[in-house]
Amino acid sequence: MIEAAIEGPGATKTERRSLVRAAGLTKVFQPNKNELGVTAVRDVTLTCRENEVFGLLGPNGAGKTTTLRMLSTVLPPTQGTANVAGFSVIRNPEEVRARIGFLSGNTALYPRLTVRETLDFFGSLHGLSGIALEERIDTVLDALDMHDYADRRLEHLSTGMTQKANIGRTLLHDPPVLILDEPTSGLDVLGAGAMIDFIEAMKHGGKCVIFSTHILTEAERLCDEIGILNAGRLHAVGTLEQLRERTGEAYLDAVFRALCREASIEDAARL
Amino acid sequence: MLNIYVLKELRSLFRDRNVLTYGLLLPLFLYPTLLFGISQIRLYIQGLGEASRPRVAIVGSPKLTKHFLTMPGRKFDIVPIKTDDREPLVTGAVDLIIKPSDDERRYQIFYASERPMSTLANDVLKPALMSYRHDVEIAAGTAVGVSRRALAGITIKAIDVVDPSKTARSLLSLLLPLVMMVMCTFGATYPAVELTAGERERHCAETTILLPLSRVQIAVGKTIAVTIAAFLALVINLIATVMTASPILSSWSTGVAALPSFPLYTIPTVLGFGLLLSILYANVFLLVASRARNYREAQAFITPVQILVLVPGMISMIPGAEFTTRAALIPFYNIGLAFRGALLGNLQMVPMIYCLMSLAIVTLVCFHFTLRRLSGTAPVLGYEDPDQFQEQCP
Repeated sequence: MIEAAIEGPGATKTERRSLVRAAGLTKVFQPNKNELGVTAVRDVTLTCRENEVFGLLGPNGAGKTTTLRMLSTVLPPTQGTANVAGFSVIRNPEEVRARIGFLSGNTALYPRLTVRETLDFFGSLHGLSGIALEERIDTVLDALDMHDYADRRLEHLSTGMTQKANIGRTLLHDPPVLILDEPTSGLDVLGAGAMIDFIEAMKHGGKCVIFSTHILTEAERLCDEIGILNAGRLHAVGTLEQLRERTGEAYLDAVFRALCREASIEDAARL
Repeated sequence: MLNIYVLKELRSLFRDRNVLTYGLLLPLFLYPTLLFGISQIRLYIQGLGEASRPRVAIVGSPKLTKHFLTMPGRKFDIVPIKTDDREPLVTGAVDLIIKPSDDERRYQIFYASERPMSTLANDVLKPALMSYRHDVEIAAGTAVGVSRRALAGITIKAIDVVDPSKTARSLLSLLLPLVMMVMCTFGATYPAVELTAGERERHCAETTILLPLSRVQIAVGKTIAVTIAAFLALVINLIATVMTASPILSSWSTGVAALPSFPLYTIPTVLGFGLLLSILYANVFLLVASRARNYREAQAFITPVQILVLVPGMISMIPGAEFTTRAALIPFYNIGLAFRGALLGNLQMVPMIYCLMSLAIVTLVCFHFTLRRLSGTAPVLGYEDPDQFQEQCP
């Protein structure tokens, strides 16, 4: 699944490694065997490369979180497949989990551990030990300026501090792929700004970042490619310029609304 | 990898207030306090009994009055009475009235059964009157020339041939398994709830699923953590109870005072069965708690299961219940019987094998369904939409 072994932000799009490839991802939730299932995600195909940020945009209930959960192996797909960092989410879920950093509103940290214990726990599970682990923990604490509260339990920290610890947890094992589900949700302006800076830094650091949001300014600033999800279908994928050209709209919110409208008409026609 | 996960779960567990309360604080403070309280109440009641003696009135019969007044170790007081009706008994002025016939060959005893002191008076008066009757018979016999030896009658003395420590062991074999079942239930409940429904409620379940561990490893890790927590709670409970109970029970004149004379194999037996109970209860409670959306729901689910698990154990403690091959197949009932047999030193091998097989099946079935629950969408979607979506696998 590796297109080329060329690294670095200077490489062209085709030269960069594809770290996430999803083909025909579908997820059906079925209340019980006698009832029809609810298709949360339908036939989603996408690719994300290193040094690239892929933004998943869509209205509430469009299937963004379910798509990201399938990519991160939290939910198995009903149909289709996805490869992350060269490993299949179906056949090698543990290998995939070792190579991703997944952050969402539902990946809270264990409140009775301190920040340092949390990092130590995740680092140990990812194969780090001894001095290498201690050095890595110190690097993460330095990078996120968490030394002052490194030995305090997470249950006693503010939302912003906890979010930093959570970011530290996703970065500790230096994964090539970051999957972030609405990472700025619940954060204040300063916290959200810091998160945007963090995603940008990760992109320039060679990571492949997939994130979902419905804050369009975030997508406009960060994304190399944007995918518009509507009612479980990935209706459009492209750079911001390509989407503008396709819709004839200048502003992203107008582009977004036009594409959602288009998707709804298509879905209605299909029915 | 698994040990790292188990250590993390244990670290989290032993920082939880509920787990600490039921695992450490209760055994360290509550049980000793309860035992001390019971001991004090017992001493108080004993003192009360010794201080307040039943008051007995005799209508006429100066001979009987004189006999009682000179009787050594008398456990009641003689009070004078003016009337020969039952009024003083009704008003509580006396606890018992003795009324002899004119020829003093028949004696009527009047008492009020609704008053404990009156019932006690009746109990202590009976042997005293029998003793008086015996003295009268001897006096009458000797008066007509019958020898005192011929009138002595038959003396009966009951002798218990069992060693007092064996009596203590028998008593403890009835109590200890049940006490340990209760302790283990408390020890396993909160850790099981904490690591399943509690984790889900705090939105940490998805974080756990994202660890580079298989779902089997996660399920095994949780089971080991709950088992260790339950076993530790059990051991701490036992140590605290034995340390507090020994001096208190020794001061009582019961067979349990012989507790220290238990054979050495009792300790590994108790620990072995404690571990077995911990594994069994950990799996049962993890299964129940994993079905719940949140902490409160898990507690509501677990309470009836605690009763269901404990009742067969209680029944197994009824004297007469035997550890047969058939009984060894009934889960929760069999472990109580096996434990009793082991404490008494007469554990039979074949029923024990059946018992272990039966418990292994229950444990594995519980683990299987817990694993299924943890492997499905419930840990992810459960707190939002419990049981609404069933996994449809490719």
